[in-house]
Amino acid sequence: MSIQVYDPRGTRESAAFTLAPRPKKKALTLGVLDNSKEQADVLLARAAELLRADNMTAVFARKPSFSRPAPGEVIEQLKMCDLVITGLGG
Amino acid sequence: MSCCMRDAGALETLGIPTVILVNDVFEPIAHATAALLNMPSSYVTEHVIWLPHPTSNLTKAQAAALIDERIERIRGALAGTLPAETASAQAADGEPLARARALVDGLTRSLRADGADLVLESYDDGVLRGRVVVGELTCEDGSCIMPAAQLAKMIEAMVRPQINGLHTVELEEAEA
Repeated sequence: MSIQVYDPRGTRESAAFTLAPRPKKKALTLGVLDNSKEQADVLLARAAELLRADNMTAVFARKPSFSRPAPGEVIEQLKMCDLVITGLGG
Repeated sequence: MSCCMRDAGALETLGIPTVILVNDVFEPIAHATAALLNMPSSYVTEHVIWLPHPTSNLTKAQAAALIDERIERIRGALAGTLPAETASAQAADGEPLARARALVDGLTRSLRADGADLVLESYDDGVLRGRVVVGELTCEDGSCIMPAAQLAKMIEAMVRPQINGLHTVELEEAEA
């Protein structure tokens, strides 16, 4: 008689991570992703303002909650960007 | 970590290099999250710009000044040329127990804010031992403090990438 044995230990699989290559072009579109935390907008706006001198054009996006990953529609807004700066982590 | 690391991971996977502004007390959690997301160990030091905590009580001018002081680092991180800097650089050297204490400093402060404390007491043969001391908690049902076993797993994820040879964290619960 055979017995079915189930292993109670779970397994965790996580997706492989791919580091994005740096863009080579001179004029860049900078995504600015505000996570809605207090002061994130002020900090990021200042960074975007200073980076204008580096020929970066800012595209601003804001996610509705800092405690959840950015929803698909917010990521969609940033897909056109060459680089992104986000905050405020914590 | 307010999901910034997850968002960065999603964007990097789409081919968009991402730089993250983070309050410095969350450095250990940033490393732990990066490890959970399979990011290379250098990701945090090369992509995160540390800001002193807290920032919520700053004026707009003071907050902008933090960015002014760090704009060259932000440029370097965006260009992929940022030299490594850690918020707790002093934890890079020194014996393992001291390093572990420095790495969980932010977590310890969070626990104290809820009425508990974390005391790391010894490090032997790869095992870090300590106590979660439960005092007068800010919540009635005790749910504001993670059980010691779960906290141990979280601390293990935070400190293992930073301390060679560390393989286990053991915590006991104790009453104040």
